[in-house]
Amino acid sequence: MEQTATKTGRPPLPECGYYLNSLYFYITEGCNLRCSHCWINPPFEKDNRAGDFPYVDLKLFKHIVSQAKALGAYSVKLSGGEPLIHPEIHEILDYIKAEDLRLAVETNATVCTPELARKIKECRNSFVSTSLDGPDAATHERVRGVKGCFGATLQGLRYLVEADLNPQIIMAVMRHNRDKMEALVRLAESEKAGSVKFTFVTSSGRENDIAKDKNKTLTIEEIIETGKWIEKELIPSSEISIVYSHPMAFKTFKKAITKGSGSCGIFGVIGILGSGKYALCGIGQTILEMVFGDAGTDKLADIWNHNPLINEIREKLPRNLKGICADCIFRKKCLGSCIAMNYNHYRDLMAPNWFCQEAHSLGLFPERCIIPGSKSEYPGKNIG
Amino acid sequence: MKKIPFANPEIVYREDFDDWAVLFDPDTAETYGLDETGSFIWKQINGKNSVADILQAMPAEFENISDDAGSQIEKFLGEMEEKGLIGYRK
Ligand code: SF4
Repeated sequence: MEQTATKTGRPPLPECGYYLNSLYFYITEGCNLRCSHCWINPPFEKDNRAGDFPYVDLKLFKHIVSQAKALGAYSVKLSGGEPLIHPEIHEILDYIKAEDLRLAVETNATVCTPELARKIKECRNSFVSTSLDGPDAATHERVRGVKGCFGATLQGLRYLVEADLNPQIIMAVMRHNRDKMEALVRLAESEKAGSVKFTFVTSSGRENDIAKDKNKTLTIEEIIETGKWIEKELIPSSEISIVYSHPMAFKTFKKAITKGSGSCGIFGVIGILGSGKYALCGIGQTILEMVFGDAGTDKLADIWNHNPLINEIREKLPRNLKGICADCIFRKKCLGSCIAMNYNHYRDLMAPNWFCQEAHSLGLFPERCIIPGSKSEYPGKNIG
Repeated sequence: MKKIPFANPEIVYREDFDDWAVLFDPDTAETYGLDETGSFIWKQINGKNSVADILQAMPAEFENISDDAGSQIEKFLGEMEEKGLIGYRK
């Protein structure tokens, strides 16, 4: 029987029963910074050009988007590497606008210009997040590995603010910058950023140097305590919206329920790597079994409807989550927080979240979030 | 005849330090948030209290009870009944 468009204007539900909502484009493998905690670890591109490394060119970008729209897609996220050094970034933004897609951009903003900021703003519901790991050049550049990048990011941030984009500043918290969190919030206020997000680099599971050095990252206990401090002291001290990346169980119930799950929308997302491969998300850049096919040769509908790994996730998540996630009252909302990270840690698709599992084994997981009668044990070994 | 709400005994109730609470249904794995008022009402549902009893208990806990509080409680209970969190005894 021929399929017809739905009343809502969306195409018919794909055969697998799930709409593809959003495309996460890691549009270039190149990056102009050398961030010590980056788990994707892209090749360094010192001349601010991505052309020397694999990238999704405009033609392929259009080819993917047109197939995705037929599966229901209405939004794209541009990440990298650094998306704004993509050689066709202007044309890509023009195309996103013309296709009326919602846009999210993750950028270090170092090469942002007023024109790029304007083009981003012209796309529907555009949202930009920019990494800034400290309120001063020394703190930020120690993480980002390139001299002068603090000033460049600040300038880019100002263009984003001027374009009325309310950019979010994301700070990756480690031991050396933990004491600068409040100063970063004050900087965000004075620069008129839209919000601040704190993420925490942990000493496990990432393919980079800083994460492997336990002295450079905070302990689980310190991360939990820092979350409480953010909640009780930092948030009330500022007009600006402040969020932090702890799993739901480590947030207040009010926040866990009202501010969304913190899960990534995995049932409606597919990643596209700079190499033009389809993948679960950016994890495909380091873990080959998370790569599903080639956008140049494979049909997106075939992958979306029939890829065994995607279907396994649909079938098992959250019911078959293991360890503490199986025993957590938030498992259906949270979905283990990030199964790509969990897989990266344990090489098990239904592994529990590493942070929650470790916290539980240390007796630090909140009792109030454990389903009565649970054991919450997980024998898996962290191999990341 | 007075309708008396009773809680589904399977439902897990958990409180947080910010006065919010969560109801967890082990059958469906759904979690439902309760604010301070919702949490208070849940604790009054003991298979004996009617809506009128719950309403009567509120001034001891809250100031400025609105005139339509009774119908708001009924609406709230109706939503909980729909989700299978409570039932009624007649
Ligand atoms: S235990 Fe799992 S489901 Fe619960 S909050 Fe942590 S990551 Fe989420």
